[in-house]
Amino acid sequence: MRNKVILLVEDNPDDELLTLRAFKKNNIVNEVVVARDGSEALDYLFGTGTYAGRDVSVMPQVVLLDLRLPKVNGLEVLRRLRANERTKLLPVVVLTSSDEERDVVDSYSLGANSYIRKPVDFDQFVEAVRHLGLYWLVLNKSPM
Amino acid sequence: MGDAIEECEQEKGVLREREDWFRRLVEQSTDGILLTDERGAIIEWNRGQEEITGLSRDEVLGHSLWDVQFRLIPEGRNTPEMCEKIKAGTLEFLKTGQSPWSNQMQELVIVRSDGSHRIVQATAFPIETSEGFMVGTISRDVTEHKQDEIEHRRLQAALEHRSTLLQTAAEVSKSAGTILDPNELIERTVNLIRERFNFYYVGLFLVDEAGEYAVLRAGTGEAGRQMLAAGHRLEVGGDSMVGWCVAHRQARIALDVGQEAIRFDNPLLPLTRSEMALPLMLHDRMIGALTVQSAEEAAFSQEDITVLQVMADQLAIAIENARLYERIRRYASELEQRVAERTVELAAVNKELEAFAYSVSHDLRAPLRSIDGFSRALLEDYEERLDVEGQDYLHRIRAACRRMGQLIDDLLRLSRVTRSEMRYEEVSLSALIQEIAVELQETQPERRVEFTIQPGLVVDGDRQLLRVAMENLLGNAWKFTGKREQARIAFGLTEVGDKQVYFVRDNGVGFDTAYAHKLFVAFQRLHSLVEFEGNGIGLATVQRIIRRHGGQVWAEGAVGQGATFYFTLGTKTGGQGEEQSYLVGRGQS
Repeated sequence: MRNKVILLVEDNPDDELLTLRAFKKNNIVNEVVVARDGSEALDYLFGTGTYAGRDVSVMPQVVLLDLRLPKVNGLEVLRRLRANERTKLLPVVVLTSSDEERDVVDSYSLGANSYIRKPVDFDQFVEAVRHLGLYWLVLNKSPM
Repeated sequence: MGDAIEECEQEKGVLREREDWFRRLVEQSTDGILLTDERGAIIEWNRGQEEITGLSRDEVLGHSLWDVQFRLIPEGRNTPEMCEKIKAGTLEFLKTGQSPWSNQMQELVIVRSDGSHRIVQATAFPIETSEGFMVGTISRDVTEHKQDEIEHRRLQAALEHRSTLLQTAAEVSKSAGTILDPNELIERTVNLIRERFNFYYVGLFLVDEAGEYAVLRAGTGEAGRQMLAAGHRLEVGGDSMVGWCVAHRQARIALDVGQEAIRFDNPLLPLTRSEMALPLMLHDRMIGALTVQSAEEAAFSQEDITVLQVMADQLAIAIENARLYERIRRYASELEQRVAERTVELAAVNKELEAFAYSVSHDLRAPLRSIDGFSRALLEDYEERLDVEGQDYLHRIRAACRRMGQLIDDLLRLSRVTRSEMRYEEVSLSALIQEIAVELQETQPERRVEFTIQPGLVVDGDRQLLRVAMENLLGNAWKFTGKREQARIAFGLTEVGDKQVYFVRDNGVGFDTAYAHKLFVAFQRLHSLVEFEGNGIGLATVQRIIRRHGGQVWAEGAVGQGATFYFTLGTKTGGQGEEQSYLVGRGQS
């Protein structure tokens, strides 16, 4: 099976680098597309803006979505994904600093598949990424 | 013949004797009896008649009946026409023996010779003779009797009036007790008084706050309406009756009669002939005046004034009550308003706080992740180029990151304790403590700690928050007994003073009582980080949670002798039996 793309929606370059490092340490070798704000993520998924002309029949295996994003925030991205026929079943893992109950509840009620709070301790983060990689990249049978 | 003469003389003697009897009978009668001859000249006028009329027999004998009658008619009615009418009527009576007044009782007022008026009942009757008719009358003075009757009627009227007064007073009193709107109370009362006493006008003035004017607050009828619309007011101490009444704290009464006659010049009340201003006083304070006006002269009796003043006093109290009630109501609604505003403000502040906490949660943690993540990367990727000291520094950096991460999390939890909504339910503190004890034991299975937990302590509270509080208290006890060979931690209910309080007791390192007040202040630590880890937020969190439950928390301890934390939870604390408390108390000793 050809490895599918992982869409990482992350505006903090440090977090981006650390996330990629965590993938590498977990031997996750999928291609990672990074969108640096909510609107760029939507462009990629719907083949608009800078991603105009992209073959939108190819969808990422999983979207790792930060909530605090410039332009269009994570919850709004999630809402639009779920409202669109093409993307409404796309696995979305919310990956964020917040553990506010409100964010957790909002994310799940908008149809997030999983909610992971980024731990400060990098070792714990690597462990979390290992789990999500195992589940969403290996075990989960994607509907897309 | 001689016999006949003698017989005749005898008969005459008998007749004279009989006439003498009748004359004496007539003379003795207290009823007045008069008799005229066939031409109307008075030939008999007894003592009764003299008594009734004041005219002596000698004055009237031989005079015609109508002349004498005419003298008896009261002034004003003794016109020439009347005189003619009486004369014609009497002449007709003498001629025919018929008259409109014959054989029936007449009641008439006469004037005696001394000028006094008497009420007389009289009957006139004809006596037929060979020459025509004589007229006789029998009269009786009923003046005293009539006066009794009048007095009786007057008394009855007075009684009725008093009854009206009392009834009105009762109605005013009832209104005073039931109507809480001052304006309605005043309006009802003035109308009630006017209607019941049939006064011309009743108005009520209240003194303004500066005490300068008496301002009309209610007035009856169209005049009242117009004056109210014009904002009618009278200067206190001015010329008006009301102004005088308020300034002098006394009733003032003006009657349009005799020497006290005054001119009433309110164009809206042209018919006023009597006016009264009664003070409305409350203790020593003048609150206004009641004006009562009548279209009759000298309309107010002493009794009216007394009763109206009683009503005015009652009204003053009622007005004050109604005003107080309204003030209370206004305060209450202002308070509600203020609470509502404050609630909105608090909600806004809360929202701001939430936004702040949210941003703290995200933005403070992000750089920490970078520091820790790249420190780790350095340790992994550049291990061979770092000596032991360099590696140690990086480990310290990472440890500091962990602590700061923990600190941020604790701060967030502290703020959440304040922000979150309370969800009350029955919570078994005993079971909660048991769970936490098990969890603590799992973190360090090698430690030997003896837990004594009083069973069955159930409280009303927010389960989540209580758990956070108990975790902190138990966690502290666990932490500070870490260096004890035989650590003991106890939880239960005990009595302090007369209060039932919960406690968490340990035999750990304790603390210096001098610093007890600092225990619950955020970031205050009584032990160094080397001795015991911690950031000083735990007990601040505990205090907030206990306070949100309406309780208190405090601590006792001594260096090296353990610590006891006491807390109450609102009013429901101590709902459990004393027996259990006693058992634990014994277990403690």
